[in-house]
Amino acid sequence: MRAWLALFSAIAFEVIGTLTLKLSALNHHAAGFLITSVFLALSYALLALAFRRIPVAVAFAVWEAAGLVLITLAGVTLLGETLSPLRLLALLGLGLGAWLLHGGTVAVQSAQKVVPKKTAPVQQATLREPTIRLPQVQP
Amino acid sequence: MTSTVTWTPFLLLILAALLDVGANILLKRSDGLRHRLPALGGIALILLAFALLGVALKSVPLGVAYAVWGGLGIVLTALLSLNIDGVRFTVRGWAGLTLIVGSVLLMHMGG
Repeated sequence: MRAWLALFSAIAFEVIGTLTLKLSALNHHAAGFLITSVFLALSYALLALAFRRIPVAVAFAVWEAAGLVLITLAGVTLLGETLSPLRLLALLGLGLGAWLLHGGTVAVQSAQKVVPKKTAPVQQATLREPTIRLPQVQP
Repeated sequence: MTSTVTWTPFLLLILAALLDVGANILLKRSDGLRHRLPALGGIALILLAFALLGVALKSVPLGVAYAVWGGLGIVLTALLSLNIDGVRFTVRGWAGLTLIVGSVLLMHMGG
């Protein structure tokens, strides 16, 4: 849960950083890139924390997808940009894609856990031995 | 002759995407910023990648630039994750990855 909190914070800094870049480009502020750099560095530092628990593929895809969705929505609501039907479709696709990737990324270790199950009958075989010996004790 | 002019920004974008992927590997290696050198190296690579992106933006529209950069970054990072995280993708995972790349392209080219 902590890793996801770090990931969502990273996305927030990414959105603020990109918006700063956009605003400074519109107003021709030279300091814009410096401010953007600070926000991006913070965003990637938090992303590094998220990488500890969340697979890189999932964390980076969610970061990129959620970032694009929020930046586009911010562009529409704050900067008065228009959202075409195709782009709205793309936004839904990004959300759905990130959700699918999250559910469709499994640890290879879970596949290896099947292997011990195959060796389990061997342990059962050793357990059977005493039951065979027990009748031998009776006579 | 003009081909060199149009291809240079795309080479910059590909290089920016590779730097981004390299940064992701270093950040993963930093183990949540516990190891300073890969952490600082990763963040340095990111800023370099964005600087290259900025140079490319002078001759390529923002939408196209982000499509190439973002799409490449997601795919290469996901493929590398198979190695560094020891994960695999189910059909659902591959479908999600394809949908994200398709959506990134649609977002920036389907204005």
